Amino acid sequence: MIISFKGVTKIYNSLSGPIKAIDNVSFDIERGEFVSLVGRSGAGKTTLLKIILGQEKPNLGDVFFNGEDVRTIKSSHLPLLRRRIGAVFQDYKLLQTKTALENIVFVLQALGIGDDQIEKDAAEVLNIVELSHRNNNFPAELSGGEKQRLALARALVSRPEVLLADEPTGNLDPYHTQDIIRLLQKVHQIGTTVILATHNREIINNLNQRVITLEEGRIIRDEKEGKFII
Amino acid sequence: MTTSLKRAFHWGWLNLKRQVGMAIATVFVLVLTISLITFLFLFQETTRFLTTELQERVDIAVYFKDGTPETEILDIKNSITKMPEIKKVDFVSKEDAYLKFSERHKGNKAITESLEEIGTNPFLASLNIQTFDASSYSRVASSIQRSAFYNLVEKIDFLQRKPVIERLNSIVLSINTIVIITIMALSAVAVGLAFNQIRNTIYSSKEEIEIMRLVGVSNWFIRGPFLIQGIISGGLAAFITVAMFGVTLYFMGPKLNVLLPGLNIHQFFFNNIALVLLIQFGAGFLLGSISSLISIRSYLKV
Repeated sequence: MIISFKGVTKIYNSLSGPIKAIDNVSFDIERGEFVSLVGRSGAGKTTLLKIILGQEKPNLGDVFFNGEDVRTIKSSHLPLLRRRIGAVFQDYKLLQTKTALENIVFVLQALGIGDDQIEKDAAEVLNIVELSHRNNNFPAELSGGEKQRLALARALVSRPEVLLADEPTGNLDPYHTQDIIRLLQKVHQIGTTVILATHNREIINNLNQRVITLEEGRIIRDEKEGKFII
Repeated sequence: MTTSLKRAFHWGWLNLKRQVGMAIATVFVLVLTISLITFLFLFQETTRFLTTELQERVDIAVYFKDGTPETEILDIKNSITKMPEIKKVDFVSKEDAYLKFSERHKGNKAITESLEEIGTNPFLASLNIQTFDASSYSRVASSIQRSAFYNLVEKIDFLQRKPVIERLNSIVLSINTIVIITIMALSAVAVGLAFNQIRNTIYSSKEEIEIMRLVGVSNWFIRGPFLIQGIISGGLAAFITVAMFGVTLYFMGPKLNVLLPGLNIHQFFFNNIALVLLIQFGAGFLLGSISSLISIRSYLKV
């Protein structure tokens, strides 16, 4: 298995008292799976993804990525974990002062790849997401769909083992939503493990993949070919 | 290593060009800071000049009994000159003293008439002694009092001048202390100002830094371009400040010389240009780089 949660609890402290975002959650994800996390807003989907990415540390329980305990990874070693996990977010999280091509090149340079290979890989990934014609545009000059495709290209360019997608279609119209889902399926077909957090009923019902349903931080359903039922 | 440096330089320079408004603000604040540091360096020289000038106006005089042969006085002068605290000893003969006095009071009829009435030269030959440090006068006066030639001495005017010398000494000490405190306080303010400006520049990139962390970029790869940006801004600010001070002092220096004769601040600046460049570029590079490194730290915790 590639990801394993064992009795994970995450509590946030707020002014109104402690809030349990994740409550004693356990599940395993096999390599190459396509898993959808569904639930209402505040159900704990994003917190769960943040824990996988090492952005948050659980208060209780263990989280393993490829057998390595994510909780004990030092801050200085987090980049090594994150290079193996691609992530796309609802708000795209693109580097606004860099062009589309530079957003990709920067990540590849950080991996220590040579200039010739970078040129090749960047062109290839921008071609896959059909953004080659937007190479020199800044994120502010792209449409919502293009921004998300660029974010996806950036997440894929380091050839991650797992792709986390946190509400990637949340800001998109139905046409661009289908576009992104089609790309996620393509990524899954080449062997990447995909974890998609969404509350889009139509997407889930058409995917026919594993669905983990969360409610108030707990798993209430985990089905192999699940549907969106809340 | 070379590739990483090349890449950091590329992104640093690109960021600087794309955030030109922010870059200008940073360079402007750094110019102010480095100017203040340079000004303090020149101010310290001016103060040193003024206090030396004050100290040079102080001396003690040893008057010799009438009839003491000049050769003996000159021997004494030689032995006093050998004392380590002595800067200068001038011999003033009876005749010189008379001439100086007459010259000084040329317009004063009462004094010139009185001198003529006396008929003889009433002045005594003397040695005017200057020490390097005003606090040494007391020690020098005591050693003369203990010396073998003291029987030839009519009087030492240190006792009369003592309160003035001591007061001057304390003024010089106070000036030096005030200057040191002022330099330290203003330097701290200047450094704080520059640090704050660079922190604001980096704060505007806070979100980008956090995104870089999320996509797996290492801390040094994130820091690199900001460090280069800081170094370029610091270098540019130092260059502008050198030019500004160079031109200003070249044209204003002679005018300052009229105000404070003997103080060649422009000459001091150009004679110490290597030190000035070291201070200015050192301050620019250090402020730019260290402020960047400190400011970025808190955003690398994502």
